[in-house]
Amino acid sequence: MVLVKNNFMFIYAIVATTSEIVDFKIAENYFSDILNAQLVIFSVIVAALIAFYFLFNFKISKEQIRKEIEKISEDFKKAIQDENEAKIKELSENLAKKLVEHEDMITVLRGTVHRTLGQFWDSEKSYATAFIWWIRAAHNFSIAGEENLARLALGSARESVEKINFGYELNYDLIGEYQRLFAEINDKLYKIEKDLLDTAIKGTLSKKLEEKG
Amino acid sequence: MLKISTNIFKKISEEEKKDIQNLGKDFGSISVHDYSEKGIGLEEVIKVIFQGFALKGIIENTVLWGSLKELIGLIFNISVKKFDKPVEVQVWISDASNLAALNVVFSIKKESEIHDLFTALRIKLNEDVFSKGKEQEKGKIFWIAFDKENEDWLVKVL
Repeated sequence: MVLVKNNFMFIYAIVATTSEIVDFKIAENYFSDILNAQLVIFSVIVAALIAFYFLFNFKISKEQIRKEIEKISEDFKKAIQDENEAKIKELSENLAKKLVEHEDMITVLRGTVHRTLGQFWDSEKSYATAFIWWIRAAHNFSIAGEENLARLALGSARESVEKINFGYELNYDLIGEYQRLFAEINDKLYKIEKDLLDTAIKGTLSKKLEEKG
Repeated sequence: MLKISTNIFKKISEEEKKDIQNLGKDFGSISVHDYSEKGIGLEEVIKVIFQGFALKGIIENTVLWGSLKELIGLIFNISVKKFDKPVEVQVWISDASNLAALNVVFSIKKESEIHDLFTALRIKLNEDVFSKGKEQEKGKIFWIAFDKENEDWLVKVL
């Protein structure tokens, strides 16, 4: 009886122990699941935080890099622009200087050609034609700063005008040009020559026309 | 005495001379004369010189101003008939009716140019000479010429 009781108790104990173990296992699994779930959640949160942190840093870095690149680019562009502007300015100044030199040379050359034509028409006794060429020569020499040649041309223009019989002999188509060119010749620098030429022209215009017919 | 002198005088028929005189009768009696000068290539340039035409009175009178334009137009057309190619007629109007002498010079290659030239000339003469009474400046010579490059009338006082 005692044995049975003991056995029973033993069995009971075993059953009880087994039951506790089962309970414990259930509890262990339960907590383990919770733990696992929490771990997963925690991992997800951590991963999300890392991802967010990474993305945030990435974005910040990208923006910073972009800004830095833009800044460097702007600085570089400005430096190149400044350098180019300085070079262009220098080139323009040199070019302008050279152009003025060449322009003056061309103007003098043009004046020389006009002077030659003035001489030619004078030699042909076509003084009215020679006159306008002398004026053109004087104008070119004066704007090129060739004072002596300008004075000579103005003097020759006066001599041609003095040889004209009547003002009517001039080419009426070119009188407007003569007036414009003459007005552009420096009044102060060539005052004497211009005044003498005006006096000669006035004399020529005052001559009365010989009538025929 | 109103005189028109031209280097194509010998080419103009008596009938054409009468046409000129008739068209210009508003100004008075006009006589047509020969004008010649020596030089190379001058035979291709037609020169017409008007003398005795009092510009101040003509400018103030619209009819006379119109008649002067027509007269120049007629002479231009007569000149065109005399040559088989385009011609350039150079005109000089010499007015000694004031204390200061007035000389107006220009050239025309087309009849249509006359109107614009005269419109601008009238304004220029009024503004630069007559409105300021400059035609009364004794001994002065006014030389009014058309500058083709700037398409403007220029006034030079001598």
